[in-house]
Amino acid sequence: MKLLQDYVRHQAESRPEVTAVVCGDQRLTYGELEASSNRLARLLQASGCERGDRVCFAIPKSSTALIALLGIMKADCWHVPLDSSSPPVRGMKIIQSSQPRLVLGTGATAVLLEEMIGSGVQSGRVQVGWLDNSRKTDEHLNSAFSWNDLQHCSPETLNHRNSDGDPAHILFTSGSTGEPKGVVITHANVIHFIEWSVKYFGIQSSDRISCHSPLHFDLSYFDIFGAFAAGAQLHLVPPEVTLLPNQIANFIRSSELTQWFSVPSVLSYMAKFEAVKFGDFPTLKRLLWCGDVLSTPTLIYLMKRLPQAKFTNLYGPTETTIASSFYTLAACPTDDKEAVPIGKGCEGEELLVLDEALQPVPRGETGDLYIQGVGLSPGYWRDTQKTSAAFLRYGPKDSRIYRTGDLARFGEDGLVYFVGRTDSQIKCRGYRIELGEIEAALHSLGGVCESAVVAIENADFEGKLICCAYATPDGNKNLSIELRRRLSNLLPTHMLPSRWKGFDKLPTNPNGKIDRAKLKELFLAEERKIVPSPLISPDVDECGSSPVPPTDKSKPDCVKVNAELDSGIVSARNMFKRRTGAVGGRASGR
Amino acid sequence: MLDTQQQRVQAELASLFSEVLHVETPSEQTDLFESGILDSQNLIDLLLSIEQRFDLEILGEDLELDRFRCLEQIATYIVRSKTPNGA
Repeated sequence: MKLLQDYVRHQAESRPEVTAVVCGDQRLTYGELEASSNRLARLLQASGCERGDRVCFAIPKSSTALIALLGIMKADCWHVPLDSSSPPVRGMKIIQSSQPRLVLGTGATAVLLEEMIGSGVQSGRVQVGWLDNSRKTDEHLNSAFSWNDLQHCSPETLNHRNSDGDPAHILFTSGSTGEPKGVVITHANVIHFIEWSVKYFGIQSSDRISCHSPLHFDLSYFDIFGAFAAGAQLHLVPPEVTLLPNQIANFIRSSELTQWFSVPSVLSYMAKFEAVKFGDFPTLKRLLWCGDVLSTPTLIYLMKRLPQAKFTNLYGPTETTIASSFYTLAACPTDDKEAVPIGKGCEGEELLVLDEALQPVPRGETGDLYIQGVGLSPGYWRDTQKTSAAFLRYGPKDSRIYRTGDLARFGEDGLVYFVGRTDSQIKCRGYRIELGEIEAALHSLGGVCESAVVAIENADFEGKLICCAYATPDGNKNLSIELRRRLSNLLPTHMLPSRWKGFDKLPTNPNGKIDRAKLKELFLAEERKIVPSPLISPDVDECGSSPVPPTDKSKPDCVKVNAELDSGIVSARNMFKRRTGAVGGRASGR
Repeated sequence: MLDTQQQRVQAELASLFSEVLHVETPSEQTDLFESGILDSQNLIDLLLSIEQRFDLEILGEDLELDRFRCLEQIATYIVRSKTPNGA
């Protein structure tokens, strides 16, 4: 039996001096990682942590965060990451739901932790272990230990008491009722994926692997444990690097990465602003994405510039651990409308496309996508109802299957193609968002008599745009800025609607319910109003040689400014680039 | 002349913050990143809306944080990239 922390122990025994983690100027060897996490595990145990206890984790992405992740596992505990970019109320909900024995934090997250813990009803003070020397105690927090205490603990390997069927972490995702729901993931779940991926991708000790995803996102566990399993170097991508596309490209170049793995929006961002050159990233062997559909034009853009790299689409919801299926491109698509499949099940996983009676649908027809296999989570944290609704029994062997809520079809090639969603869950820049959770938050604000949240295709970039329609008792239609600000106290940034519109009364259908289809139409019409640029009509040729006079009457100031600035010269536009971000509802993987 | 242009661009740009990003319009020199007004989510929205509104193409190599740190800097960038041979 193997546990996740064993990967590091194994490397530390055979190659202790080899660099495991690179984060800015900091480097941590496998030997240091093993010793520090052993010390931390002992501190956690001395603070009362036992097998099965939850330990919440609010630590910025750093080598310390990885010591913490391993230390928690070595203390036989479950790791519950808190998103430090989320509002404190949301973190508090996770703390209240998971009831941790202890919370780990640093000075950088201290204020957030205080706000989180202070914002909720809590019986007794919350124990906090500080992973630096910011020892703080107040009316809500009780300081259990700080970084200096580590040196008093032995760095020797601990004997674990848990088994690989024990949870490694609980990952909280957006819940349709407004409460985040916790997905329980075991050591065995993650290990199955890691063992397959190291073998399939041929990850070696010489590899330099990116860790782009935040640590509360399960994609990061592939980066982390895939690297540790192979004894490779893990390069943590600082969040500020991801602000701009050329910074991301510079990071890949200067770190001489051999593997990049992220959500597609990061890749589209680089393509959109042409941050990748022909023959760029000479060390890059593999480029992988997961979490959303990568548009085919972006894929073509990258494959043409990086001919040496292997491109793989991974697919899978959190409930089935990191990814359940894969598809590696054999060649660069020739048609930018070509759909990229989500492929076939990883080892030990199977994708099923079934009808309402749980019978397989004929090849080529769309059905509900189910997953069975070794990645399936035991279920949702303390929610048997949600668990039994999503995890069903199937077939003669009564196998456990997970209902993804995605629609899919088998192609003639025997591969699975993603088609869409059955419910109001959307993907936005890789984040999984339940529109119901945003609506629940809006309703709790007060001051709004009607509101609805819908999602439309983003015409100019990847994925979806979240749109909010509202009506107030006094007919005020100019509350968008204030509503967004108030909503930002309840929801993380990625869940905030990007389009807002005030109504006297929201449109209804004959049953008297809010007409969401009509709302989508209205928001789409607004997008079309924005899209025509004031100086270039859509039929201008590739060289932009025939500038047309401004016709858009809706933005006179803007037209004037542009007319002044342009001096009659229209820059040559790269037509490919203009199309790069357009997804247009095409389903090509997720 | 340039000053006027700069001011007009700045005013137009300011309106993008309220109309497109739905946040309070920051002052000319507010650090948009330090103040938390811009993050990796809405920075993309801002860049795309600048491209649309000012009809220009922002290239990856132009995207330095120090060019986009405050409203004034962004306006300067827009004026320069719209001026023939002036960049």
